Amino acid sequence: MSPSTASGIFARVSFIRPKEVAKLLAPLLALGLCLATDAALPSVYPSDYSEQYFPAFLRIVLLLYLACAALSCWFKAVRQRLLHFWGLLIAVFVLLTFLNLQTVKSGNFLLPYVPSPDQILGAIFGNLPTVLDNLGGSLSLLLQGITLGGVAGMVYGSCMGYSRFFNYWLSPFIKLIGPVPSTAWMALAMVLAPSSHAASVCLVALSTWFPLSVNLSGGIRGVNKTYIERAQTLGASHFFILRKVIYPAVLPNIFTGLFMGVCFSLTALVGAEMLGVQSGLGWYISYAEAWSEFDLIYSTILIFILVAFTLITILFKIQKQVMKWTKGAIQW
Amino acid sequence: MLGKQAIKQLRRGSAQAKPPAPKTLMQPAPKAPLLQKPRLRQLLQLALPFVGIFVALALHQLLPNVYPANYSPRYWAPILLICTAIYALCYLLACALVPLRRRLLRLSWLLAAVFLLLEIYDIATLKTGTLKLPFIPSPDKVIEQFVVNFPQILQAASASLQLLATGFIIGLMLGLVSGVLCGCSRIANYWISPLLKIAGPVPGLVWLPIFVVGFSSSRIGSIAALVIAVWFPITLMLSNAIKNTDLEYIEHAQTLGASRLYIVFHVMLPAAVPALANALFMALAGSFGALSAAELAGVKSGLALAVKQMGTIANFGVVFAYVIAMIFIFSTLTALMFAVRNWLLRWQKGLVRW
Amino acid sequence: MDEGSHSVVEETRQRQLLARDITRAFINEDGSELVALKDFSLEINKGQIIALVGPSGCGKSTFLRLVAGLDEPQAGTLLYNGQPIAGPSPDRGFVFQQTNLYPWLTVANNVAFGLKARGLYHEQKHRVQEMIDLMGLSGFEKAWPHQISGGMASRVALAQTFIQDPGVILLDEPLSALDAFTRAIIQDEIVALWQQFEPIIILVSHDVEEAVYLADRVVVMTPRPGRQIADLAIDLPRPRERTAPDFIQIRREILQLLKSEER
Repeated sequence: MSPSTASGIFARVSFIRPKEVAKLLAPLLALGLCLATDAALPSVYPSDYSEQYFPAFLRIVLLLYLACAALSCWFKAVRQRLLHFWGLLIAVFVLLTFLNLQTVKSGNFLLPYVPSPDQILGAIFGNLPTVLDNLGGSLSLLLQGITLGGVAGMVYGSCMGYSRFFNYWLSPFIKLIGPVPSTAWMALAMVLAPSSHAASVCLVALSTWFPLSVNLSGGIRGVNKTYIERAQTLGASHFFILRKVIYPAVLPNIFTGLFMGVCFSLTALVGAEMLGVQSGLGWYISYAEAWSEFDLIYSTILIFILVAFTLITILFKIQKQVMKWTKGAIQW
Repeated sequence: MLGKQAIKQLRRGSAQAKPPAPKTLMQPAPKAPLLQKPRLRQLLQLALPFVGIFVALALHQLLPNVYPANYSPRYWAPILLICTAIYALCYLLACALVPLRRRLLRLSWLLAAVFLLLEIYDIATLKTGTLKLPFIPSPDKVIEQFVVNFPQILQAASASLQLLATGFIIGLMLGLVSGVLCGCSRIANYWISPLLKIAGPVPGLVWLPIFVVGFSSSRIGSIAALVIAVWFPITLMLSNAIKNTDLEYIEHAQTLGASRLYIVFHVMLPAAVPALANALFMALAGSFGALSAAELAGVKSGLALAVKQMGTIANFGVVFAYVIAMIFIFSTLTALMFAVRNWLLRWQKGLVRW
Repeated sequence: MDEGSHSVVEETRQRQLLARDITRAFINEDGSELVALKDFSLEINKGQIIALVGPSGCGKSTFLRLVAGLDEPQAGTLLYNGQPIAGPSPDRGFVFQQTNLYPWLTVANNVAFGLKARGLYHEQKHRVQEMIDLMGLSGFEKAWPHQISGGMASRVALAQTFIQDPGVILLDEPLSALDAFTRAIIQDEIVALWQQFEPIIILVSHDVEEAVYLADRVVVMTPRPGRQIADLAIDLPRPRERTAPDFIQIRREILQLLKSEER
């Protein structure tokens, strides 16, 4: 990271070049196109349909963009972000216009398979309590599972990496059980666990535990020997070496393992919700699929994308904060 | 992340012709001749699994079968005898061949423990009924179901493997291409990476409903879900590793007159191999998840579906048989993947081991 | 203990570090045995700098690892202050060949590592800054190891060890990766540190000039099996002049010894 961005969000902009002004204004044009076509053309498909959410949504986006653009005149960080995203923003607005024109404005894309943007927004904001309820259920299940699996993975991986004895007895188990995906365990977990909720948490935990243990134990066995010997000659105890030398040295492995774990546990979560607990976002998708409510499916996928993206972004932000000393970790 | 370390190790290795003596000398086991007579201690340790098997066999034969009533086991004792025969053969070979002996010596405690654990399981089910039917069948019952349903298991397994192979290979190709593109070109990275971040972490089960409709074929939809699960980690980690290639390496190649394409294939990709190996692990494990999702919600065939269906009708003997088949297939594939990766990374020390 | 042990203990009271008939062998990859040290003896007085020179494989580094307690001899006596050496201790500091500082710790935290490991950090916090100032590292306290130059990394590694105020400091080619100019400067700094803290320093080096410049005694060794062929006292006054006739004479003698062994 260069020092200019590190100096903070509040670094003032001295001047803006004309080319940059054009880049800042271009997304506005695309957004204007979207707004204009939406306002000018009549909604024809399905008949008697009136848009409720999409125009308001576009206006809010417009306001937000104008606010950001205004801020970017003063704040360098905002301007850099906007200048980075201008192409993507244009692409998104153009795609939205296209989708809007092909669905509600003309009916070229058939319902129920391709709903209009307005219907997708309606599926979210029309049933907001249900959506939030399911989202909350999913998140709590996911976080419980990841926490449990994270702790289990740290302990299991540490034992396997640190001691030959544990490695001998623990590694066959993880080699056999680990690769089998959690969705496949569902049928067994439902009858073996005391409740379907417990079964789901266990499955999410299982899919975090596996990659974390494998990465951690491999990392510990690969720690540079001189790091440990140096600490020994400086008078460090076993516990101190574990805490201050081995764990920092394997932090990259821990984060790689956690990243894999989060990705796998999302799969486990959806599987558990569809087949097990019958609640949450995963269940909502299978419910919508059963009733062929594709606007619900799309909206839930959007929420899911948001959840997955946020979780992984948070993970990588933490990684960046914790591992300031390194260059070349996985960037998100 | 691994790539960087590897390069550093490479460089360290080249900067100093010889590493400090004791470390390299102490680690590897001495290379012994292929044929050698075993010592008594080794012979005894090698015999440990026999003890395990015989204890299991004796307990199985001596204790009465109480649960369920009137059940007479037919498979467990013969299986144990077959195991004895196979292990006896290995034992004889290991008396002569040193590499096999070393491997068996390592496994002996484990094998003994496995047979004892299985016998405890036998006692808990068939001999006492501590673990209840229909959820937990006895080992005899599981093996019976395995044998009876073997053709179906084989069929389901081959269906699963076909789907997996198709998806994995397409995903791997796509991932390699887009990973190299994202790593080398800023423009490609600008447009592909948002797609990657959005589509990548979302599991296959979520995509399937629209993929099946969108491709108007459950098979193609399932393959698409698999492809995403493989494409995502490969692209992410490969592009990262390529972006992090040491500038010195690239500049060095440039001064030697290498073209851009040559640098990509002969400098950047080799430097990214450790990261790629890591990505392969994630891709494989992820593709197993996507595979079972696709079998449940997409193609409606294969091992995962069989497990679910048999679970729904509470036929748990068959469920266990299918799960055993799954464990066997998935762990074998993972072990194979790690073997490939160890071979790829034979120059590097301290990688994630299997 | 045999009957002679009493006198041995007496002797080490004065000698401080005493190695007698040390043997250490390793098993090679092909199963053959490599004798790194064979019947190696060395006595070191308080506050001396000893340089071990010789070609690779003559057991210099092995001897350092034995003194550090990172390895054990298969035969022989190894006493420090009259006590047999058992395991590593902060009283015997080791500066490794690869100056790989802990990359996750800042310069200041690398220097303070030993104090923190022994739980002395809160009492002796001020010494960290003193040490950093002494080594000319001020202003780089918060830098990460990958941000500093090779010479600075060597200084941090030295500071990390010297702050413990050990009785013995083992230097395993600590400057071999540096350019000649920086090396000369840090050699002077090592002498200054030695004069301030007065430890025994055992230096392993490929560089005969470095050995003659720093050491009170130069021990010349040969490989296969590693043993000592000469023990030369260097009685030149400090600071030493690399171009002085005496200096060059001693250097030539050592080089000739090494050459004659090679033949």
